[in-house]
Amino acid sequence: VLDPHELAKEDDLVKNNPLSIDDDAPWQQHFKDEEYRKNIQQDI
Amino acid sequence: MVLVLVIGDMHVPHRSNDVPQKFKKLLVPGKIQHVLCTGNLCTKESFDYLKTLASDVHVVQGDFDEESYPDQKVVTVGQFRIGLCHGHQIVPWGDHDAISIQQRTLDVDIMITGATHKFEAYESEGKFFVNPGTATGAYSAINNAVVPSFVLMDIQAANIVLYVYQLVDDEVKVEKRDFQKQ
Repeated sequence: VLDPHELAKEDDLVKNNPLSIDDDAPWQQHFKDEEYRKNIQQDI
Repeated sequence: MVLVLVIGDMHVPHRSNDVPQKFKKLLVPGKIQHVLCTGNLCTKESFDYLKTLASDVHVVQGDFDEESYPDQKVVTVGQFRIGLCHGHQIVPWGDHDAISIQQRTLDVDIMITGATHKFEAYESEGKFFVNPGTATGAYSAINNAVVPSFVLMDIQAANIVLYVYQLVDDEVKVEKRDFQKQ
């Protein structure tokens, strides 16, 4: 599981923050993963 | 991991039209769990806007609010007791000692106040104090260089990572602070 906090150590905060809308931002990936996990949970 | 949005002092429509577009682009539903608002929204429309971001919205009474909210509130998120108060009742406005008294009265780990339209985040005697500033950059009689700002707290167990979003020269600037509960 990807931890956005680990990756958040990079210094570019404009790109790397929880509200970032940048597609490459680790947080963006994190929210997508959460979505997937929720779906998987429902399917099970 | 819980994301808490701290925002307030919009003064819409009296002193400002709206929250800046560049902020609105960042504030999307589905990410934030709790919204803590320091007040002075000042109309119900602004409250409805906050309600679109998260279902759990807490607001305290500012000196210009048309709606009626509690004077102060204590919200528990994870291990943290968070005190919320607009701060126009705490004189002198923004005074660290006066706010500390309020923090001790409410017995909270984090004390959030507004009123001054100036972002602040500092630690004092093991407690954390946050002022998210004004989200719209509304005029303030005591601060002549107002910068639009709001705060996002990422709470994980006994740690908080605070992100402050400021609109400087029409660009969003982000800074980060850490706080650990003692």
